[in-house]
Amino acid sequence: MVEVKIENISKKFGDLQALHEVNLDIKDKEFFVLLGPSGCGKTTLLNIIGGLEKQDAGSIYLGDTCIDRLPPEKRDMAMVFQSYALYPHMNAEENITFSLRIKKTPKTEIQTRLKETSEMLGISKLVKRRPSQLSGGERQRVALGRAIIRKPRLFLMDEPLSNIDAKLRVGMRVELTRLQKKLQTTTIYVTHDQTEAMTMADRVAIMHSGKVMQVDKPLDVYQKPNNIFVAGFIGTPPMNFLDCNLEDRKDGGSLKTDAFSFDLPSDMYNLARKVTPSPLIMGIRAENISVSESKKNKDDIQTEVYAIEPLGSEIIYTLSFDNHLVKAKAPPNLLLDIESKVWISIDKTAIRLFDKETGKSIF
Amino acid sequence: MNQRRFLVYICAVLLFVWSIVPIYWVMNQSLMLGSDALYVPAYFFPKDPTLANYYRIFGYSVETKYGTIRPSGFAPQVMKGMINSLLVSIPVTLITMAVATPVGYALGRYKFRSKNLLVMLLLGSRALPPVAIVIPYFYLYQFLGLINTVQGLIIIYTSITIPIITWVLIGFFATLPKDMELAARMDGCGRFTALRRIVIPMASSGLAASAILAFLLSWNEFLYSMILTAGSTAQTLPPVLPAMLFMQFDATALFSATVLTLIPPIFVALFFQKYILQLKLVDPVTV
Repeated sequence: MVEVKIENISKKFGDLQALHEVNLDIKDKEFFVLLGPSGCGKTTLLNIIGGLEKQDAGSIYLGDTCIDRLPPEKRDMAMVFQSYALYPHMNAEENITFSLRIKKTPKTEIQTRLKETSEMLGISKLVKRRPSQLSGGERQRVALGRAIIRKPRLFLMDEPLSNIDAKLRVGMRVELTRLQKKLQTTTIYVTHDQTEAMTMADRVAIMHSGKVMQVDKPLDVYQKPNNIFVAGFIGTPPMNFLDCNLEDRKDGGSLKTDAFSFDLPSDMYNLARKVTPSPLIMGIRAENISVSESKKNKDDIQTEVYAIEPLGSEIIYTLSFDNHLVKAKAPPNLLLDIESKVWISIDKTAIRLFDKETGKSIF
Repeated sequence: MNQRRFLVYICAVLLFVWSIVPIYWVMNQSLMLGSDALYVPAYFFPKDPTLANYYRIFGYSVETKYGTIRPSGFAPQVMKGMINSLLVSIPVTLITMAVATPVGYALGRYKFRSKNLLVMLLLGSRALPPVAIVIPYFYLYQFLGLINTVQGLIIIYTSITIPIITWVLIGFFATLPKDMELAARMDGCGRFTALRRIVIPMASSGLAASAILAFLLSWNEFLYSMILTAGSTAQTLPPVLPAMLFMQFDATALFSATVLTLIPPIFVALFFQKYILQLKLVDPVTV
């Protein structure tokens, strides 16, 4: 059982607060992703877990033991670096077996495990080559092999896929997930790529300026963002945001932006009403806005096509109305010209509402 | 573009002439007998090339077209000087590398209090002109019984080479990628093992270049050897050469001694060369 408990970790670099009282519970055998834009502190957190950096405050527990005082070499964790960090003066085999040789593992066992690992990763033929003679993807595998062969308690991965080309990355994503499920080793994986996070994670922690914004399953993060940062960060294209206010009426309420307003179902209204009358932000995903060339409902809004991004399976239209821009997904057969007039209809059940001041989600 | 290329060639030729021609000239002269070497106009290629001067420097007399020529009067000093120079330079190189590598690593890699002060002091120790402290050294060494000894020279030379080589290595270690060392820590190495098994092999090119530099600094040192060991059995090669010029002028013997002085550094450079070009660091981004 390898559970990682991160308690109140803070870290400062000079004046920069890299991590601010971070708390996380990572479960046994979990593929846990730390996701966030660059500079959010995710790599720092990973380094602190690995012992490569020291926290200013807080503790890390592996199971029930506090590991704050253990140096990295005694933590029994394996790390895959963004740069792979292969030892340039050793060939692939020596790289992979280095940790075992340091531990003075018997030679026969090293050979068995090397064979097992290199076959698992499909690099048996490359083991005699130096890192400089390997391609990016091959180096990636050797770096993984170096981590896997140790059978560590924990894998730490720092953007391991960011340096290989896009096509290979998609394949490696799947392979890495399968590998982790097979090895059943708890994994903490750092990335800034939300596709990686969504596709690989059991759970994701979204980080922003040294704080954890939300920890949830990938789909929950997408569907029920806790706050406006997560809502805007997850999803391509990002969620559309519009400033709005709540207007009371006798039999409920309506949501009013400067361009349009519509009635809210009573349950949604009641939730929204709980917040003191403050400005709100309405969030709506591109797939919840439907585009048509004629007005179909009374609440439809007239817009003008501002930009077109055909993606093959769908077209993303950027539409403008009253100084607002929203993005909407449309089926690939709906071909519109730029500056043509179209109508959009918003799926009200899919609306997310945020408190403008705190950024917190209301529903 | 062509014009630029032309300029590059001109510079290359000038550099070649500047650095190679004097050496060539000394070799050229060392392969001729006295009267041929001094003949005007000079021969650009050795006339009747012979190793006679080298035999003479090693203490043999030789039969030549001009009759028997006796060994050079400086033969014992040149040979002894050569041996002393090696006895000084090799230990100096080894000690320097053994000390400067960990110090340069620590100063280049780790942040700690008063680090800048330490680095300043290190370089400051080299700021005095050697001439200014050679006389105090003379009295000190006389007092300590280190005058006219190889050990005495080794002590002084390491005090010259260690600061300089450390300085060079600080910069080198600071630019070496850090991830491999961190990877080694994660792989189960303590700080020292990571340094020994990963950082030093990765740094081998810089260390080899530094070792060559340390050897040269020690091999070429003139002033301290001249003042502290002159005329003794501990004298190194550099002060012997000007002595040959002033005491008993024998041009071709001087030239061959000069060429002999060049040979050990060349071997040292060749020995370390293989480490300099061997290692290709992997940059994952530019694949």
